[in-house]
Amino acid sequence: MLFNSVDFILFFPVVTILFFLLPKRVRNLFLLAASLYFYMCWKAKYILLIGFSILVTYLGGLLMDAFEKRGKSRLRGLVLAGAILSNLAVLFLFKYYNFFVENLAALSQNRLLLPLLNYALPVGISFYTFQALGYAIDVYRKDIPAEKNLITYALFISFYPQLVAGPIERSTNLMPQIKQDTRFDFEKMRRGLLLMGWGMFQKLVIADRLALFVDAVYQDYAQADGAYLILATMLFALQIYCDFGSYSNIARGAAEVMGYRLMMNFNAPYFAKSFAEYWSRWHISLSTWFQDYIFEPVVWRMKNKKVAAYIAVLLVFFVSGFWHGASWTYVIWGLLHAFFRVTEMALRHPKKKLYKKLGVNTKSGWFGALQTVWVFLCVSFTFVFFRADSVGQAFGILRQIGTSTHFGSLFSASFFTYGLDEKDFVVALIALAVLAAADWLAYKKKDVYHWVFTRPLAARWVLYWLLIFSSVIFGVYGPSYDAAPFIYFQF
Amino acid sequence: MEKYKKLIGSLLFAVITLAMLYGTANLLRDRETTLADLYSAQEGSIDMVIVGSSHVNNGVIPNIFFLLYCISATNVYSWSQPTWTAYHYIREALSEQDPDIIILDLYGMTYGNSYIMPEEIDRINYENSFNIDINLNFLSLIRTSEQVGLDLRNYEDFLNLPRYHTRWKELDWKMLTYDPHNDRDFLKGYGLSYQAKAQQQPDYQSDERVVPYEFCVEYLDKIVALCEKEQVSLIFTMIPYIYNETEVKIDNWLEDYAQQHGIPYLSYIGEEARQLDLDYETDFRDNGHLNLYGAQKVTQSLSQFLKENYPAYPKEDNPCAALFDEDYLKYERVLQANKIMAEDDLGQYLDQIFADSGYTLYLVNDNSPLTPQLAQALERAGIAQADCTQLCAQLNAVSSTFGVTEIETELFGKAGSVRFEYGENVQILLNDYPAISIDSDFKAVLYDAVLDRPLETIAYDAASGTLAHKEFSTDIIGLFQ
Repeated sequence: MLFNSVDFILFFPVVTILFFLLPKRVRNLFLLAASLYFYMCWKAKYILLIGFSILVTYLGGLLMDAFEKRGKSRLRGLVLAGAILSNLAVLFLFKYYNFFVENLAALSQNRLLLPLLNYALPVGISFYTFQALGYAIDVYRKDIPAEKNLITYALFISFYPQLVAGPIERSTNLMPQIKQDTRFDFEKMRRGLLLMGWGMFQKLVIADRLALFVDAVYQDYAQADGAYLILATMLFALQIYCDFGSYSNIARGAAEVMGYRLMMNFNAPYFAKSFAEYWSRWHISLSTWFQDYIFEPVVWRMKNKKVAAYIAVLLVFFVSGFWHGASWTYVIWGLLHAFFRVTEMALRHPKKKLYKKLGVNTKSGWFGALQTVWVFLCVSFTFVFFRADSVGQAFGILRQIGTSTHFGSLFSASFFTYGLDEKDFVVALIALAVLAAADWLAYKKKDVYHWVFTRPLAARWVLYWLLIFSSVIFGVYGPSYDAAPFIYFQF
Repeated sequence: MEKYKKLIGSLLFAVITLAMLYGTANLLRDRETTLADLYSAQEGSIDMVIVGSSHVNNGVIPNIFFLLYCISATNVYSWSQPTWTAYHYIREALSEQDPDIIILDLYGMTYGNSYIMPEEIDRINYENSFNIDINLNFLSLIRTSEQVGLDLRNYEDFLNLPRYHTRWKELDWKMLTYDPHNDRDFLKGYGLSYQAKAQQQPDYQSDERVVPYEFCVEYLDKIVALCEKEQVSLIFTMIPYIYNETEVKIDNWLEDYAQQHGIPYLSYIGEEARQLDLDYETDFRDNGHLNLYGAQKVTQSLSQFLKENYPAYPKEDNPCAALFDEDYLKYERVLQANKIMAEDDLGQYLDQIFADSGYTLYLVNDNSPLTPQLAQALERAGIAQADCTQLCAQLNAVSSTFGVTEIETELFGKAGSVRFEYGENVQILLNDYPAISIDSDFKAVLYDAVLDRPLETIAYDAASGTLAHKEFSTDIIGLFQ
C-alpha cells in the first residue's frame, strides 16, 4: 500500500479511529494486525520473512537474557551471532544471492554457474532486518532488557508507518512508547497531520515532478547534452531527498497522530557545510545505526584511533552502499562518499592552517555558502552512480558530461521536451523555493510547526489549505501517470 | 469546553476542505460528454433516443428525423458501447427525458466476437462512464463493470480529481464555463464524416445461431424490462458495418430474441442490408462506420419505418420546434462547409469562402501575434500540430468576383484596402503593395461565424499547387459554441 494512494487515505483514518476507540489492552494487537495487513497488501506470503526475523530476534533476546541470568556470557555471544547470521542469511538470499551468482559466473568466466532465484525482492527487507538486528545487539549490550511480550516486540518490528522504508527505529526509542498507553492528543494529531501533508507535498509536487525530467534525460543519456545530464543529476539529488524525506515525514506524521514519536530521518541535509554534517542530516536513522553498530565498535577495538576511524568510515560506506542495493553502482556510490569523508578528515587540520595563513574568514556567510554548494555538488556527483542503471551507464553519463557540455543548450526550446513543460517547470521552481525556505528554517533550528500553530486560526487554515490543494492540484498522479513508488522501497 | 471547541473546529475544517475538494474537482472536470444534447435539451422535448456505440454516432442523423417525421431525436452513445453500458445510458436518458421511443443498436451484443477486441472495450469502459453525470447511475455503471469482470483501472481513476487534476495547465474561460446542461449540441450526437473508404461487402450467410456473451444477454433482458416498465416503445436495429461470420449468427439469435419479445428489429447487416441500397464503395468511412451518405440512407430508412408504424408527431405539438428547425439549418451549414473543405482547387476554394460572409479566413504568418483566445481554442483543437501557431490577419470577404476580391480591412496591423487576387498569380495586396504572396506556401484557418467555430486549417503548396485540408473534429463543436 502506497502512502500516496487512495487505499492509504482510507486505511489511515480507519485504523487511527479504531485504535483510539478500542480498549487499551487490545490496541497493540490491533495495530499489529493492521501493520501486517498493510505489508501484506504487497505480497502476502512475504509476511513469513518478517515473521521469521521477529521470531529469531525475539527468541534470541529471551535466550540472551536467560544466559545472562545464569552467567553464561559466551553463550550470549553465540546467540547474538546466530540471530545476526540467520537474519543476514535471509537478507542475502532474497537480496544479494543473484548478484553473487552473476558476479561469480563473471569472475570464473562462466565456469561456476549457480542457479538464479526468481522471486521479487521483499519490500523493506533491509529496513526491518536492520531494526531487528539493532534490537538483538541492544539486548546483547544490555542497553535494554529482552522484550517478553511477543505482540509488543512484533509491533516494534512491523509498526506500519515505518515498516517498509524506515526510519529504522531503535528499540530504546520506540519499544518504551509501544509499552506505554497512548492517549489521543490533539496537538500531536495536528502536528502529525501537518507532517503528513508536508510529506505528500514533497512527494507529489516536487519528487514526482522532478522525476519526469530526470527520467527523460537519463533515458536519453547517450544523446542528451552534458548540461542536461548535470542538471538532471542535481535535480535527482533533490528528487531523492524529497522522495525519501517525504516517506519519512508521512511515516513520522502517521505515527505521531497515534501518539508515537519516531526519530527524525532528514534534517535539511543540503545545507550541510561538510560531509560529516551531511551524514548527520541525511538518512539519520541509518547513519546512526552504522555509527552505533559498526563505526564505534570498530574504532573501539583498535588501538590507533585515527587509522581506525579511516577504516571504519570505509567499512561503513562500503556496507551502506551494499545495503542500498545489490549492484556495483551502489557500492561505488558508497565508496565515493567514503572518499569524500576520509579526505575531509585527513585535510581537516591542513585546511585550517591554510585558511589561517590566507586570512580566510571561515565564519563568513559567503564561505559557508561556498562550502554548502561544494558539498551539494559532490553529493550530486555521487548520485550519478546511484541513479544509473549500471556502472557502464554511469561512466557513459560522465563521458558525455566531459565531452559534450554546452550550458547554452539549457536555454533552448528543447529544454521543455524533457518531461517538464513550461508550466510544470514553473511549479517545480516555486515548490523548490518553498522546500528551500522550510529547510533553511529547520537548519536554523526554528520550529516551523510551532510557528504555524501559533498563527491566528484563519491564517492557519489558509496554510493548511495551501498545502492540501497544492498537492491535490499540482501533484503528479492519476491516470496520466503511473503512480510512482517511493524510491527507497527497493532497498 | 476547550476540548469541544477543538473538536468542532476540526470537524468544520474537514467539512469545508471536503466541500472545496468537491468544488475543485468539478471545476477541473472535463465536461465534454457524448450526452450533451440529452442534458441540454429542454425537459420533455425529446421524443426518441437512439442508443449505441460509435456506429450510432456515425450512422444516425437525428436532425433528419425531425425534418422527415417531425420527431425530435438524439443520439445517446459512447465508444464501443457494450450492452451493459447501453442499459445505464438508457437509464440516464429516461431520468433526463421522457421519450416515447428508444432505438437500440445491438452492435454491443457482439462483445467478444466483433472486430474490436474485448480488452479494448474493457479499457475504455471507464471512459464511457464519464459521459454520465456523477450520480447513482454513474456509480451503478462502475459497479456493473466490476460485476461483469472487466479489468478496470484503479478505482481512484473513477474519482473526478485524480482524473482531471492535470487540467490546471489548460485553464481557460471556455473550459470553466462550458456546461453540457446548457450548451447545446445541434448535431445531437451525430458525428459527421464525408470521408469515403471502399469496403468489401460481406457475404456471409448462415442459419445458425450464436448466443451472445452472457452479460450482454442479461443486460438486454434488463433493457427490455426497463422499457416495458417505463412504457417506452423499444426498437432494435443493427447499423451497417463490415461484420464477420459469427456476427451474422449472433444477428440470427437477435432476430429470434426480438421476435420472442415482440420487438421490431431493423437489422441492416446480412440479407437485410440490401433494402438500404448501401453502396460499399462510397458509403463507409472505414470498416466500422458509415459516412454521411451511408448515415443518410440509414436515417431515412428508420424514418420511413417510424412513419409507417408509429403515430404522427405534429410539429406544432413540439414546444421546441423552432429550435430544432434552427438545428437542422446548422446541420445543413455543416454539410455545406464540408463541401468547401473538400475543395482542392485554391481559386474555387477562395471563391466559395468569399461568396459567404459567414466565413473568415485567418492567414498564418510567422511575424505577427495570434489572437490569444483563438490561439488557445485552436491549440486545444489540435491545430498547433499543423504548425499554425501565429496568425496575422482577418479577411472578411464582403464581395466576390472571380479573379479579384477587394475589401476594407486590416492586414498585419495596417488598415487599408486589401485586394485578394487569385488565378495565375495569386497574391494579397495591401494598399497595392504585396502583403503575402500565395505564389509561395501559406497556411490559413477557416472560421465559420454561423457555426461559431474554426472548421479547418489549409496548407497550400505552391510548387505542386495542392491544397491540403486538416479538419476540426466534430467532437469538439461543444467547445466552440
